Amino acid sequence: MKCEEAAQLVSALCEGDRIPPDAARHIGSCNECLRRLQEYCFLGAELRRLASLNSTEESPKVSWNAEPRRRESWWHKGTRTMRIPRAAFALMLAAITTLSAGIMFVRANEKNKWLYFEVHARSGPHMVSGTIPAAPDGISDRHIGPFSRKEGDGTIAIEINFRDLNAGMEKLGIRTLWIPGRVGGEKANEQAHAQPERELWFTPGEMLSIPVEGYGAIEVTGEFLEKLPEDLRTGMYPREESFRIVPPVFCLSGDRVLSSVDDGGGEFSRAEHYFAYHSPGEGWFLIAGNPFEGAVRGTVRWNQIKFSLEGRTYLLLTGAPILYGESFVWVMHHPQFQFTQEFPSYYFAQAREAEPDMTFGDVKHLTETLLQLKGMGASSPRATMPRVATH
Amino acid sequence: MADDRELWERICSGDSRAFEAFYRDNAPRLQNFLRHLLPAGQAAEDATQDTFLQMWRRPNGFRPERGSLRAYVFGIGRKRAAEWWRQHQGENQLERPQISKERAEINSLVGDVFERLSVEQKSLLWLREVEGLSYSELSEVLEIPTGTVKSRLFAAREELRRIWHDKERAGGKRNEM
Repeated sequence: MKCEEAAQLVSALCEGDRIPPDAARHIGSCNECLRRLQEYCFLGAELRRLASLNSTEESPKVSWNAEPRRRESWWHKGTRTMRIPRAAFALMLAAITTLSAGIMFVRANEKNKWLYFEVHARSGPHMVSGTIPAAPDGISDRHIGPFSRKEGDGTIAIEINFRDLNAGMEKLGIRTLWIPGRVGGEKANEQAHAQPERELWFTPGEMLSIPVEGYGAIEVTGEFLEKLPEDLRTGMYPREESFRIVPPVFCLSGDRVLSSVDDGGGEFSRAEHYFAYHSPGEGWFLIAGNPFEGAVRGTVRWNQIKFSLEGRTYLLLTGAPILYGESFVWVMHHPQFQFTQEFPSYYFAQAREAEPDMTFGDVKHLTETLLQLKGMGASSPRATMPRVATH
Repeated sequence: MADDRELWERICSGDSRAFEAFYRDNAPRLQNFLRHLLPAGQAAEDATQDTFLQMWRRPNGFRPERGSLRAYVFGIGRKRAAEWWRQHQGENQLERPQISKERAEINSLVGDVFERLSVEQKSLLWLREVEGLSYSELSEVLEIPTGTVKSRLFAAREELRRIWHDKERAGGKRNEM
């Protein structure tokens, strides 16, 4: 199969469609097709991120007449649209967001994992909004911009770094620049980025007004959230306490594709389950959302799990985002790991050494079995593990 | 789907509370979508309101067996956007290249690239990637066969990727992958 023929099937893979085995084999062994798959996934995820940045749209409050087809609703008379004051709109929008998404707004504590924020221009228009982790976690991007907004008399450009969370307040590093007259957005962004950073503290639930010389003030508002808003996920991301593995899953090391699996997959709890991938000649990679003894730390971002083991870097590339945002994972390499009835996985793996495979299981079984194996003298994952007979 | 059927019946019977709830849940999303199809300014808001007004005053055409009510409302919204372009074809030719440029600048490189797609391709990708509409819903909304949905999705993805690469070559910053 040629890449041109496989290209449309790469798009189908992004949709979760089944594709012919020969196409899957070609895609799994072709760098160009793999790159296309990776870029489709990346661009799709970026579009969803773009949508989430603008998820709070302005929709005027309207009163719907109880008898729609007999007489015109009052707001429609004389004009096809209705404008309402910004302040009233802001209140309405807050109410809509709260009611429709069922989000609980509360002050920051260990339960509040997310920060929803909005940035408004001087006269009130929404510039940008988004949902980010409430506290730095060492991996997630908590940086916005620079971005700019053209106004009638110039361009305002802003860049915000959410530096830290302390006592319920977010420490912001902010760069701003007002450029009167006409200037391109990219140039304005570049110049804003070159400005000195100002440190300000923002208390979610309150409004932070940031004066900008020659412009007026921009405003930052926001709230802590316990849960990722349902409307942000739009069915494209798993629940926030979960990872989701959507096939095909490709295992790469450096620029070499080691193997691929084109069926199976599922959603699993970050806290309670592990995910295991078997690559022929490599053995099993055991991956969990929390640290476990002997595991090294890796990262999950978009549809990629990256980790380094024994001097090699590995990349597991899946067909759809594994989670919303970024996260750490912990990975152990067991060249000869065996799944048995004593060590069950959710999809009982009958992995043969020559075939790639993947499975999911309960992390407590993983821990118990690793301890047993350690007791048997196999303390190093690299050590030859005693084979456990399969039943 | 059963919920949509019930909701639709309530809307058809003039239940303003049911419709208001539906409006609250879906108007911001529709407006977000239409802002990528129409010029910056008031047009997207107007089209959003027209869409819901039409649905409220003349509730017909929704078939639950063919897709969700949300897909149906996005279909009306898309037609409103097409109508807007027809009505403003002569007077706004100069404005057209500036569609949502301001928005693109405040979002991301991919946002900028996305704005360069045709209206049809933007509609298709947005409804699939962001709104998560199924093939059959896309087929209904865009009035094209399911097979065509698949091939056009591929073409849209490929075009987005091509423009993204061009932009990258032209010196744009690429997000780390």
